[in-house]
Amino acid sequence: MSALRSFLAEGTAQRWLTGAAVLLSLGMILGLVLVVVEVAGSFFWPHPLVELELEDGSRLLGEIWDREPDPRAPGTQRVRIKVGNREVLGADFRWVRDASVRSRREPADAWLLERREYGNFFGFPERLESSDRRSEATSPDFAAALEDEVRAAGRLLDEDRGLRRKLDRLHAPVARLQARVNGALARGEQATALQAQLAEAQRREAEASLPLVQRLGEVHDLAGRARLIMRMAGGGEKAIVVSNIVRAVPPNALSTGARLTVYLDRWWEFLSGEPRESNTEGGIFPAIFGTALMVMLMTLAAVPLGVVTAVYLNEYARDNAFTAAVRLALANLAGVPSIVFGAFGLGFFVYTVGGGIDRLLYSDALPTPTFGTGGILWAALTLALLTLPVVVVATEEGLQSVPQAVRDGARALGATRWQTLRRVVLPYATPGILTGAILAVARAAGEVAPLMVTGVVKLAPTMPFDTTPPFLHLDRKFMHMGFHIFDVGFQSPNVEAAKPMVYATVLVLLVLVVVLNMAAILLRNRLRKRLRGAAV
Amino acid sequence: MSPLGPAHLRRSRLVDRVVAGAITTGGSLVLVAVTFLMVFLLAQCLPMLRGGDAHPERTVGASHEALAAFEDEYRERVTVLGRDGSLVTVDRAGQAAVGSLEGATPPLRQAVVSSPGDLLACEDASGALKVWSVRTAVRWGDAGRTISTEVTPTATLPGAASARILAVAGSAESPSVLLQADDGATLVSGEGAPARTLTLGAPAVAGALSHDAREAWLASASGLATFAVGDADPAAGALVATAPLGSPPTALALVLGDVTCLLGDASGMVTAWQVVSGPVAGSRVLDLAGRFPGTGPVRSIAISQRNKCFAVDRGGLVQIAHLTGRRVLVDVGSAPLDAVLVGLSRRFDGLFAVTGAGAVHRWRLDAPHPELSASVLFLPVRYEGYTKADLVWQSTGGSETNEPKLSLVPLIVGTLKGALYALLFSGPCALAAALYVSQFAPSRLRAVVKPVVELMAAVPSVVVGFLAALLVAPLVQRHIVGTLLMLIVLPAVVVGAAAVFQTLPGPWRRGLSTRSELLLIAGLLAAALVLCFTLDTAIEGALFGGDFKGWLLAAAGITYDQRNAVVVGFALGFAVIPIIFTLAEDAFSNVPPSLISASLALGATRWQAARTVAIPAASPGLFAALMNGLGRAVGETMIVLMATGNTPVLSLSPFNGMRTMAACIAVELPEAPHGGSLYRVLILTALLLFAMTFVTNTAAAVVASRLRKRFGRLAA
Repeated sequence: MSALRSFLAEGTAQRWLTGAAVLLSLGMILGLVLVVVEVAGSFFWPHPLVELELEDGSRLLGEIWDREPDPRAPGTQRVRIKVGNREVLGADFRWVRDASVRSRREPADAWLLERREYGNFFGFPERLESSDRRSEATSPDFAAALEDEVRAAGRLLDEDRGLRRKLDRLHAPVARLQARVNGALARGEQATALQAQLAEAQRREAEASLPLVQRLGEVHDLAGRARLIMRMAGGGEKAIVVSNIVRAVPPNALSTGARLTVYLDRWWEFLSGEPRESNTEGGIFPAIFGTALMVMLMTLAAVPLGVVTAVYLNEYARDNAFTAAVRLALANLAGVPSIVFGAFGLGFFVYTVGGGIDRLLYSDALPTPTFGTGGILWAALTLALLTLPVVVVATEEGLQSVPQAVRDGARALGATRWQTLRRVVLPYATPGILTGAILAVARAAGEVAPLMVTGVVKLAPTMPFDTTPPFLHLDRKFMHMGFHIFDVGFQSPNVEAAKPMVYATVLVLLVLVVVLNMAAILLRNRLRKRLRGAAV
Repeated sequence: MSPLGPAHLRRSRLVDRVVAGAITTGGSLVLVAVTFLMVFLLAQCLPMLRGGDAHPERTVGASHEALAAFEDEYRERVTVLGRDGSLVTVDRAGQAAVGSLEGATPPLRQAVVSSPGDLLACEDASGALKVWSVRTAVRWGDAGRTISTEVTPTATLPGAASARILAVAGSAESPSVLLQADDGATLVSGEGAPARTLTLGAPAVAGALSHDAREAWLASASGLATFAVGDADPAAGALVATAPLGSPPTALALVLGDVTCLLGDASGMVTAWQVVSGPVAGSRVLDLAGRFPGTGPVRSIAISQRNKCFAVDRGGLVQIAHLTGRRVLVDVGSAPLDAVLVGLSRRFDGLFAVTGAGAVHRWRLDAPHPELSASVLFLPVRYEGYTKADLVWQSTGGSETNEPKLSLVPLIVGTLKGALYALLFSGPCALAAALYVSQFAPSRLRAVVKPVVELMAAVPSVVVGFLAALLVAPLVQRHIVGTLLMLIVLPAVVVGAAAVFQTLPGPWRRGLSTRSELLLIAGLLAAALVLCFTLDTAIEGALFGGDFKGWLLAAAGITYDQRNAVVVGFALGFAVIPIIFTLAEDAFSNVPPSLISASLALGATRWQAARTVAIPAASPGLFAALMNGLGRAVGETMIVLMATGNTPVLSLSPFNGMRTMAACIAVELPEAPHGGSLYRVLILTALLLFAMTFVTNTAAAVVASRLRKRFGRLAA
């Protein structure tokens, strides 16, 4: 009994338990980071292509993704192999029991084609056919010829995109008129004059776009000429239009250096490219861009207001009930669930303010909303409300670090309160303000829930910032990295195949948030050091 | 001009004053914003609790003896059918245009309109039974749109002359008419099919037909019966169920969806009847699902074509009520005493009553949210197809006639359940970690742990939710026994090892530095984890027959969802730990060191000092930390959205998922039409969330400020 009592009094067990809690918490975050880095980091590495010959004589070619105990036969293992060739085989993946594999090899002549449509293709090239040449896969210059063709097709696609952009620009006035006509008809009004204008605009568009459309046809024709004939592992040939190929590599034949090049090239494509196949392939550039622009707009709204609030609380306010109420409001603002801000943003910014703007300025397009629907401006303002407390708290800390003596000195020299603030206090508190801004950006970059109701979309046809006047389109919907994770991870038709892509997005988001937070922590630590110095 | 000149000084002072005003205004903006947020949300959801109003409009007259009337969809004109075969169309201003019913020989003997108002059945002077289709035609012309009601003959049916028409239904091409007969009723159809007899044993006093005329309800003076008019027997309808009646029935009508039959009787009571499964398997019985009392015999019942509302005419008083909500929305007291027909407008935005003399009384109806009331949102409700009152959230019905079920209780319970499981895991873990870092660990460790925990707080919740749902949930599912084992084995291993350590000789114990102590614990944890997951299969085989989920279902009747409360508790806990840890650590650090030192000087061990001094002194702060954590767990959206499966079930089982308020808002608000019922309910949900976190945050803030004052004195 006394042994137990002394054991409890000594407290080793209690100390160890609490220590275990610390380690567990640290282990969780460490585990999360490791898993993300591992999965995302290895995804873009060119994995070997494995050809399996099964018991029944059939052959499979693909990448091995997973190995797990076979649920149907305990004690044995099975592998999941990505066989690609979606338009032929139907599904991307195949489970293969270890026992059913007769032989396994890594053929050096197997190629992986990353395509714009239908996902990856795995197979053995036979020959390359284009209008002016024909190259057998066995010929020494085959790889160079294929690369040439892929590059030429890429140029054609660029031209195609340019032509389409021009056509879109030509169509813009027609679309605007069409919206007005539709609006008028939907409101039950006469639209004869508008319809005449529309017909005229359509005629002009048709006239101006004719040569472009012709060239577009030629481009399509040219792009469709070069074809790569592939033999599939399971037998049968398949012709693949070269313009559908993004990248062609023979992974088993590559040296480590060449693999590294492919790896980096894929990362670059991921960060700078457009998404393909409903976001499950390609890049996430529009999402990165949308996140950045939204966060910038948010900063423009949140930082000035936050700084003013902090200055008020720290420099101007007296210690009374009103100030206490402001502080309580601030504490609550920090604690209110983000989705509540989303609901408020939708009800107030989108429907009330946006609807009002539409009635005042865009009434001829009604009932199709312009600002009365979710958009980047409303999302940014909603998040500004959400991040305001972050800015205020950090700025206050910055202001508190300014020694009272400095303020008194300035006032003693005859400066007004505003002059003291502007020339002395605010410059001194800049690191605090900066910390607040950085933390707000980090918080906003990862926040998704309020955006889901105020204007984020899975796939935005146009960016909120482009070359069409007025360049910055505050009413447009946008893409966001966090929403991208949710959407592709949960709502895409092919979650299994898209999962590593999502991990890569997670890694990018995580790196962004961690870097921002580290910067804020470093800045704040410097500030605190100075604060201690000032107190002495 | 000199910078110290009087003009310049004056300007400086002016600028100073202006800026001071601006900053004060800006500073108070936060308070304004929070207040406005609350008021705005409240204003957005308040309209839903209002029942409705009926505003009388101008009474117009047709001055013919009226038999029936129709209103067009846009409520512009009312068409009155006169006994003399005239069709008088009256607009809002009272301008009348007279036409005649095509193909009918006046005078008409009787006329009945189907409940959607799309069919008219008449017996004319020749005794022929004919059906007309009624529809609203919209034409676009130079003068804008013109709306008219078109009444076109579609079928002549064989009918017993002078039999009373009880109801008409079906499509315009093949309408069916229910006629009174000596021992029940006869259903005659247009497509050359023979008449079907529905045998009741007594003449039917009132009858109703479903939209497709496949079901018929009949009421005789003593009983109510429902028949299925299938293809099995071409000559008769099959009796499905009957029920005795106490009071003589006067009116019968089917609520939109054809599930519930409303029966009005001479005593003024309207009862709602539904067919449910009987006590014997396969049998069907009629069940009394609701009552709507009133004074004065029921003259007629009109059915809304938009929702589960209906209007009851009791002669001079028309009540508009909602079936599911079991409440009366509007009392229209100014109704005529002798209305031959009362109708609800197609879009549920108006009410009209036609008197025998041809006067048309009209009301504009303003009842935007008939299906909502406080009791529907928070109390059990008996929906159509349910045999008892239940709490259900199902905002979108499968079909147009399937009503939305908007009980907030499953969402509130789901939210609290998620928060509870999260706190069960994160509360002890975070508080213990804070205690260790502030009381036992050297300050060097603190300098490492604090920023790492801050980074943990910064991990976007969408990332946590993604990993929880797609990585942790399958793992937990595969190793559920190991996971549950972990909860016991981890602490047990650590405590056991400490007990062993205690028996070691003193110099060994004292030789252990903090770093090696932590390494030792880490090793123990790793070993315990490995132990759990290797023993996992063996234990599952030994105790649960190799299948824990099957055992769970068989032994306790609990199903296992892959995305369940255990996973959510773990993932939400991940998000909440940094919040509780940071605040709790602050609370511990704010305990004046002199108190701890005094305790140690008196001979207490570090643990005794922590237990008797630090924890009691910091306890208000710890409470505040837990409250803040709770607030975060309640409002967290993305994690629960991704890791719960989002099924709004009322279950506290750790192996089931749930739907929380926040996740529900995120999923359903973008699809909810602005100003609609779902929109307002979701805004109310947001307001409730706001209120919940407001309470936890304010409590935490008040406690924290008390604490600051107390130790402020002590430290000084």
